[in-house]
Amino acid sequence: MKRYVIALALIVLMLPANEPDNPILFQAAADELQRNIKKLRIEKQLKPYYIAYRILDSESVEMAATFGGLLYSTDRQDRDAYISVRVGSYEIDNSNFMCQTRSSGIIESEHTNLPLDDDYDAIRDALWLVTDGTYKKALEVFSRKKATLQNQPSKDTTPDFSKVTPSANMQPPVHLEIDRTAWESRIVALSEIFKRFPGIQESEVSFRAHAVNQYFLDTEGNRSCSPRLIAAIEVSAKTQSHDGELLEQNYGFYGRVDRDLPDLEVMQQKVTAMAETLSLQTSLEKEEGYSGPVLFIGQAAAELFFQILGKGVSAPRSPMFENEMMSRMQKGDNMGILTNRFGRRVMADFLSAYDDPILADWQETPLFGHFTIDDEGVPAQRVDLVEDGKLTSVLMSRAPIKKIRTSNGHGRYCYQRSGTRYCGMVANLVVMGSPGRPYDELKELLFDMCRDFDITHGLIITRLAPTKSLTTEEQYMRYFSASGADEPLLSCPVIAYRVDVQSGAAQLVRGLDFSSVTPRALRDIVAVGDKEYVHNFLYRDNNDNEHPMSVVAPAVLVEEMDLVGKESKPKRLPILKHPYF
Amino acid sequence: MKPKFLTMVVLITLLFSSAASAQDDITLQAMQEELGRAMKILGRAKPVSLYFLSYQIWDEHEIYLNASEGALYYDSDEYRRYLDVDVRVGSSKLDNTHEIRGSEYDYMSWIPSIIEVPIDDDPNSLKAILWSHTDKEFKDAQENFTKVLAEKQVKVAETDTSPDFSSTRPQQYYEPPRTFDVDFQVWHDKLRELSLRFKNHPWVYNSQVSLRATNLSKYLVNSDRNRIRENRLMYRLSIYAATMAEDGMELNLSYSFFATAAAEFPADSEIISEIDTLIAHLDALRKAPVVEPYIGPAILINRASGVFFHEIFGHRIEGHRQKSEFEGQTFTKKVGEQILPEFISVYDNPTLTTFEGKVLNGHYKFDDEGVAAENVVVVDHGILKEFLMSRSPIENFPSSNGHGRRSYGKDIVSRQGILHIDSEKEVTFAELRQALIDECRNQNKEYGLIFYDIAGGFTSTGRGGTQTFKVIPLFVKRIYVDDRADEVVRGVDIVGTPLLSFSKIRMTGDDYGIFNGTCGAESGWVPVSSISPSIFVTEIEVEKKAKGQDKPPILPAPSPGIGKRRSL
Repeated sequence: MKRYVIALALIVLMLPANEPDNPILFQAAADELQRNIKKLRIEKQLKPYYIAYRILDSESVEMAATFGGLLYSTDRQDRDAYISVRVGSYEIDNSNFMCQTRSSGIIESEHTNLPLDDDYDAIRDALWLVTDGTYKKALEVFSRKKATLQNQPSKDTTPDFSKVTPSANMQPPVHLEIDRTAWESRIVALSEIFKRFPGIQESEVSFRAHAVNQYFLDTEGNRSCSPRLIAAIEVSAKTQSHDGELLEQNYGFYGRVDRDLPDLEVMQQKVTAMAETLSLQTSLEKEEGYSGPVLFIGQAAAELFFQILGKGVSAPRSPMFENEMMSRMQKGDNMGILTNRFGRRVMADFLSAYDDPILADWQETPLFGHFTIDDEGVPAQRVDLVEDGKLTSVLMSRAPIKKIRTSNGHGRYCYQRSGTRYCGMVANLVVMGSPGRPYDELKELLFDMCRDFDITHGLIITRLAPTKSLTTEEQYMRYFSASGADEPLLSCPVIAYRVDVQSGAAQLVRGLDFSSVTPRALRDIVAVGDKEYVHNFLYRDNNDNEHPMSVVAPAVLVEEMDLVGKESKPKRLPILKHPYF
Repeated sequence: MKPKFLTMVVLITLLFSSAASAQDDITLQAMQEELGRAMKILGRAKPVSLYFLSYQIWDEHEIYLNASEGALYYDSDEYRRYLDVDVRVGSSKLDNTHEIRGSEYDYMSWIPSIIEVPIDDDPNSLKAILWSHTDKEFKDAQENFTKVLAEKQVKVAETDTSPDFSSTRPQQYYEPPRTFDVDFQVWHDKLRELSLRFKNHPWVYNSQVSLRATNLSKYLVNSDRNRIRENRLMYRLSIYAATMAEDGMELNLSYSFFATAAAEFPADSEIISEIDTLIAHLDALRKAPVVEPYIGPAILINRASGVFFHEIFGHRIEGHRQKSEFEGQTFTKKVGEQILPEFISVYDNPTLTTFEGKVLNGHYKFDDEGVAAENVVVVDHGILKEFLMSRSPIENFPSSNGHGRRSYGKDIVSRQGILHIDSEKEVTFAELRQALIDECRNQNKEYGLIFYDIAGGFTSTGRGGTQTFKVIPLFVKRIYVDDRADEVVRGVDIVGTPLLSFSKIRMTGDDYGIFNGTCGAESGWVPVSSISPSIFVTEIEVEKKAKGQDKPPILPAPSPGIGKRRSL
């Protein structure tokens, strides 16, 4: 008898790896999913052909400090569920269509909170109610989409939803192990650096760490549990130049777990350097402009590739709009602008690029954009985007496009101007070029080109402004004016140097901005560096959703770019002097 | 002579002791120092100088627990400090806050400007933030003042020529910090258990039992020598349930208990009984017939009447609404006139802490401008006497009575605290009910209505809109003139115009009850209370509620009980 019990216990222990670690949560979701796909239907209406539950079980720690004082320090647990219901068929369903429904904004997946407790009944109950509401909304959207199609017949017969081979992938869940007190003292120490810089008016240092376990299950039989981890320190500082222009610098340290972040001393050096640069900029005269060759190095090169190539091959499927005004709101976020250039040149012919979410590290550096299963439950894949300068593929979610009918595991739930949808997005974008030249050689080349241009100085940019989400005021303005300015294709340089062609002496400059950059900039690259820079960052969409991403890119020399003095509204300098200094 | 001397000694000692602890408060000290520095320099700035500066810090520790159907949904613990900087340039007669007539309504002013300051009593970082925001606010104020001056030149004279800011007495007040006295771990399980009571009713689509504990310490330092630290510690235990009637009408009921200490919490049996009542009422509601539009006699039960007065009356006696050219000014010119039946008096008295042993949520000692709260006699025997005033004066009311309020990040306006409806024509509830039936017969009505609960409402006080109101009753019964039993009905909103509605109040019950809640308006969310007896009105108008078009859930709730099956 005893032996029998032991045998049974062994069997239980040796369950196949594809059993979820959180059986109650998973079973409750699976049972409710089954019940709904079998029975959910309004009489005489279409029944759902697809339902998916994506559950994010997350632990977070967030804290911030300024000028040596702790602003807040919190930890929290969340369990969010995103419910997708599709009616119609894979060919045509309620997705890829933007209309404002009564119940909520334009979203493809309904959100609800699930209980934090592993309570089978309560979890099912929460899913039941939202599935019901999502189904009714799907019916409403689908009928409006069909009505719109009658008015605006489209020749495009690309299906709405691609099929995938069902897969199961249960990875062990992750948890946060953070010494909160230690991190509080570290960020306070980092924030104290600014006490040495009288020229800087405001500064803030934040730390956050998230451990998210994504549970995914759908009615096609996909089942997965995949972890995502991020740890980040972000530093921002603001001030004004001597003539009143607002200046800002940001710096970040990113890893997957807090162990990945540099030692305090290293961070202190970097933050000090950032503060020194900003301080120095306050006294500089504003640049009037520059036309000529530009050398992008480090973060600036990575941002150049992210903003033009990365965004350009993202979100390739554009949705249909119920009305003109909504489609106008869609303009200008630079997503997907390269996706109609298949087989054509998008970069210089010695450059290639791919995106591989599965990559966890680049050499020793952890990659922030790493994941194994995307937000639609599709296993992540490496995608070769550009070969010898020519566009070969784009980042796909399960929304097909004419040229590519299947997902390549890059689907992320992301807000674009008009709504939240599953879009193909950058995870780990890697750009390679050959021959790679050492930095000094690149600089010589820059000088040579400057001589050809007959200019005495070349421009080296080391940092571009990060992509930021809109402020409340900006969102509000956008809401009421129904448009807002288009985003420029490339954000302005925040750290740039004018380098003397004769002496090689570099001088920090301020106040430059790109003038009418087009995707051509990537084709005008004439040389690349021999070292890759790993740029980890949080891409924030305009709904404040954060998407961890990485770009690995060498330095690049662009043949010719136009920069102008940045448009700005100078403000009066502070009347009182800073109380500390 | 002798007793007077004694009082003086005691007073001096009291003042001294409170001042001494305030001296040790690092935050107050840092605020004071930075304020002094700013006043000294900006007070001489050109072209127009600072004449008033106020710093307010909201030190807020909030714990929120929420459970549904036996499972915990939220468990949050937040500790933050927020800052408000108020500046005035020019003079109290005319300053930057002066309303610019004919300008577009500034919807941006509804976006709160949230400024966080350190929680760890670090004076240097606090001062750095005070400095940078004072500078910003001051420059904005100078810019605005220029606009005010320009507007003065081109527009006709204003109706109300009162100054922009009133003077006040300096106040020093200090309360030492407090801490929660509740074991929240115990409440995790308690909320789970309480929330399970809804589980046997699968037709309840959404139910919640929550506990919100707020420990707020407000620091205020201003250039009028006010230096105040006042605490507010409040526990709010709420129950909520929602369902949908067969025709798609969404229905919900809620109830909250308030306590300022663990000892004031209701007994478990009391909470359970309130949950059971809520469930019974919601069940009756979903099966209830939908009421047709109706004009006729009605009773508003005390706490419903409290909400009614708060929405329809209270918002119209807020001082700033008498001055703003955007406002409808229902009562502006009616001071000294009868606006309510002569047996009714109305006070707003934030100094009350309890009523008949029950905690009042709207209590405070000092308002957000540092003015001591006063018991304001708004209506005396039906005659309008006074408005609720902040430091923004209006014609004939030159000073504040301690009602300038806001939530952090907002600009201060006058708001209600504890609205107290007092009646001299009280009868027992049985008599009130009989009066309702008699009046129905009189008017040849088949039935009258009793409103037990009101969720709140909307009242347009603006000039652009119509001077109407709508309040949202939650639980209503039909009282028949014949011997039919009382009948729960649903789907009605009370509508009307305020002046007419008040003239229909005939008598009140002797059953004073309180309503505790949170009121949202242009200066944000503030805690409020109302105290009122049940009132009998000879005429009230109800219209059909706008109803959701969604059907009730298609599938029944997942069958309860299977959760016991823990193994796979």
